[in-house]
Amino acid sequence: MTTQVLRDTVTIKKPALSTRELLKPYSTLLALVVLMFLFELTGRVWTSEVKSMVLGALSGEAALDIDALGRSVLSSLTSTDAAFFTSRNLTNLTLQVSINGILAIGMTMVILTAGIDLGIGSVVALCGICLGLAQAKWAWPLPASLAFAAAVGASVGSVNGFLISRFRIPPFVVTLGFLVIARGLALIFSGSSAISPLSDEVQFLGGGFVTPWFLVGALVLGVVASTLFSRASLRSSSGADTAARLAASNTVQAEVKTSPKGASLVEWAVGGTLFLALASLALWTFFTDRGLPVPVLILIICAAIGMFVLQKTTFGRGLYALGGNETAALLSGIPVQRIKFTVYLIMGLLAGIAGIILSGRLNSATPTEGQLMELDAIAAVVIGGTSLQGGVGRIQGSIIGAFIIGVLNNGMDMLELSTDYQMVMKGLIIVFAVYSDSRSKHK
Amino acid sequence: MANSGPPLLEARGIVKTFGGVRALGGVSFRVDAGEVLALCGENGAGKSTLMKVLSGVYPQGDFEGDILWKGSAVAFRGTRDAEAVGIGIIHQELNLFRELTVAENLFAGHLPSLGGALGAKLGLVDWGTVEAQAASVLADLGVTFSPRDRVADLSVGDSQMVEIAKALLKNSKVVIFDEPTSALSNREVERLFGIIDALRAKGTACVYISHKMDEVFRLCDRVVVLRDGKSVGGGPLKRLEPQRPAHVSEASEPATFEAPRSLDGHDVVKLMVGRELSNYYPPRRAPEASATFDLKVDSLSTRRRLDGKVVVDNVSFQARRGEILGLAGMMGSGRSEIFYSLFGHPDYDATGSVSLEGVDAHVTGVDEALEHRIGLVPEDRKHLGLHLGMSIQQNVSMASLFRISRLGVIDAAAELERANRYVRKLRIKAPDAETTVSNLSGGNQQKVALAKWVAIHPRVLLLDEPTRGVDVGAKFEIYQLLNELVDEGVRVIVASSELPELVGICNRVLVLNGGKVAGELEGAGVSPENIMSLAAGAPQSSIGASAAVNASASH
Repeated sequence: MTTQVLRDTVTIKKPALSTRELLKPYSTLLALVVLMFLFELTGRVWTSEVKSMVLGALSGEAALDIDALGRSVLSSLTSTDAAFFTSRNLTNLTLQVSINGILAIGMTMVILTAGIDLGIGSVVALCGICLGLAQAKWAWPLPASLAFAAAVGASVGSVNGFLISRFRIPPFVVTLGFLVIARGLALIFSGSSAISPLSDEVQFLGGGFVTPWFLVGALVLGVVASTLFSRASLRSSSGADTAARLAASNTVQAEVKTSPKGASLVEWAVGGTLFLALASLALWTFFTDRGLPVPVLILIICAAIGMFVLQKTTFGRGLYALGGNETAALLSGIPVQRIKFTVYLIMGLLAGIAGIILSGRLNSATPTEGQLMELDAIAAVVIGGTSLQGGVGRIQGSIIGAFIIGVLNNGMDMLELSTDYQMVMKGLIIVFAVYSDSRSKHK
Repeated sequence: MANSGPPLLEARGIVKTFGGVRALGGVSFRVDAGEVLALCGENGAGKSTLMKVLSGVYPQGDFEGDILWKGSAVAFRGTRDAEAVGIGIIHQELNLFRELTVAENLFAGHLPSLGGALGAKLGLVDWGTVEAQAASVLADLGVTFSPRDRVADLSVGDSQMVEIAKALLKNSKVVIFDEPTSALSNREVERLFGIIDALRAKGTACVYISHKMDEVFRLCDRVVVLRDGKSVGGGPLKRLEPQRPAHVSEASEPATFEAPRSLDGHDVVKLMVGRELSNYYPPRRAPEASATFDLKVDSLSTRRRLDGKVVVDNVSFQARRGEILGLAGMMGSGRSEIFYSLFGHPDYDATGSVSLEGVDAHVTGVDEALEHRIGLVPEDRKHLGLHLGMSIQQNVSMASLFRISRLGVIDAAAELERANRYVRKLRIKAPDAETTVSNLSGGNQQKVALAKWVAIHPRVLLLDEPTRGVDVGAKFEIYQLLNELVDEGVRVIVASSELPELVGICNRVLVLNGGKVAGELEGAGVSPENIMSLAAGAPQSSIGASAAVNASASH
């Protein structure tokens, strides 16, 4: 009865989405795709043949043969040989990204609480050394060595967390301290030299391959889980709408400024297409090359757990609440200090896992390894749209951010740019990414 | 004076939209020299937007319509242009540099320079002039702080005075006051009213934005009411105080194009809410005689951890189901601090005993308060009560996640179902429960803050200034909700600085003064006068015989 009456009076305008707004949630993902195609293009054009011609002409050794150049470019552009999109290159790319991706998961949680962890590069090295000692020196069994390395990471993290949550020392300061302390400990424990070789199993963890059917399984699971999730939210938008429409009055239009939400079909289509494209690219990569790299599998597992924790658990909710408004979270009975402690512990644990993978891949535990890794992780998180002020951000974004950084490194390596130039480029792109993100937010 | 010529400031057909939503839909109004115009309307009616248009916050071109100054059109590119013409605005949110001195704040942006052009280029500041002028304007305001004080060290009320001084310094011809009294003590409010009267006598035009009807009627000559971005009416106001100097209201009363009949409070509220609102307060329930006092607070004393200051001093009181207990007192009298003590706020150290239904309920942490199902809706919803960036749903379940989770995993469907239930129960106006709270109006935000605590099924609910910055319609709904909670057996305690509110909804009122209980009023004794005199420190015995004083509870 009243339902009908009210429904007539309430008209909640859902403005039609412009293309720009439509693509906004996927902007980082699109940037990644564009970047990959950009490197494919430049990689094809900038062949050694073209390079020698251009450089020769520039140095005045030979006149530039425009015809030959054009032919060369045209043939490489039309050839079926890819430059960037080879399954070998893409597999290597995922291998390179996996460590930063794992660290970025923990860093996302830390930054969501408006904190920071500057020490993880050193913790990665320290954990690697501990693994090396356990394996090479003490000849511990594999599980014990792995548990030891991970436990060292978790302990450093928990000390960080304790100092930050209990004594209210700013995270920047505490973790800056551990940047130096952990590095020093790594050097002390290792006697300043690399420890090698490591066992085959550890090498497998760092660079081995498993059947890509694991990825198929993961994708199926992911799709099932996300449909279950979206079913809930679909029900929410229909159920909530009727309820709210019942309660709402005409004033809603004036009060609610803009809420272009509720997944429209077009949005679903865009997201679905992107997802399908990337998933098939990944499957093709792993099926045609050596298989699914173990570190990538570990990354997928960590990311899945991380996303579940952030989106589905009270801990995750508390994390967002704490980052969004710490006082209000405290006054709502959210265990603010315990969450802070746990977040740094998780970060340390993930640094331990990253340390295991890294030393496995190098077949050596090196005390100087992992420098500036924290910055790559922070960059991935920030590029992925997480606010340094806390409270806003997702692990998905950080993983994409890690891939953007990985594609940059990989592509510039492919173009044989020297690392010096790579650093400058990377820095510029990070600043630009954050700038464009903050611009789009202010719009 | 202004009758003959064009009005001092006039707005014609102002339209302002925010991304498709029309905040102002063609508002016209005028204000003349020497009058105080009240601008009334519920939250979200467009008052602040209109004032931002007039003060140049939104530059010309950002909105449609014309602004006329003394009859000729003006175009502001920014606030500086508006200031140059003579429009000053005192914002609701304080725009002060907390780490700078009062004088530096007063001259922020236009410090006088020393030694002519060269001095100006070098940026040398004439601090002598700064201090002298600052001192003189502060003296006019009759404040006690000095120009050299750091703003961070001032009370909120004094900071507001600095804002007012800033507008006065610029010699504005039109001064806009955007809800200036929400942070002021009664004495400061009186002083502010004196200043506004002086401005009016000087021929300055004042625009006074407020929810508070008593202030509007004491102060203002004319009213314009906005609703949903339109001016829905207005006209001269019926004077409440005949002793006000007659010349002011009579002489400067412009020949209005609006309703000739003088409006009374009832008319204004009706215009604001767009419907007949028979009473500001829902009927009060009579307490059940059978209900026993089962929330007992005995000799509660509290220190603030930060500085060790005693903020609650040996306070004892009792509460029971079936009634609303009020806490009254001036700012700093310990109202909020009593709540924080009962709630286990970690910044406060409380001693004394608290028992609830015979069980010790003295808590030392918010988690323990939650175990006893004691809820606190804090005073400052934006900073303490809500997560503005999160959805209604997430805010509603914030304090009761344990109810909708198992093994730490949130049941999304249950959470949503519950959120919808509270959106309905509290009549929160929003498209859906996933709407971000920052997009809601003040009244609806406050309802969300309330819903969060209703959702824990509280046994005791403490509400600190539950209707601050809330429009009339939403206020009434909040009062109704409190009554429903009382009916459900919640012990409701309300701290408020709005005396009519306490009188309107409370069965008993505990009056505080300097962290101590100054007295307790019950039944017919709950009157603004009695509360005021107790809060101001008058002994309880001096209160008239009509005050039924419950001595047993304040033993």
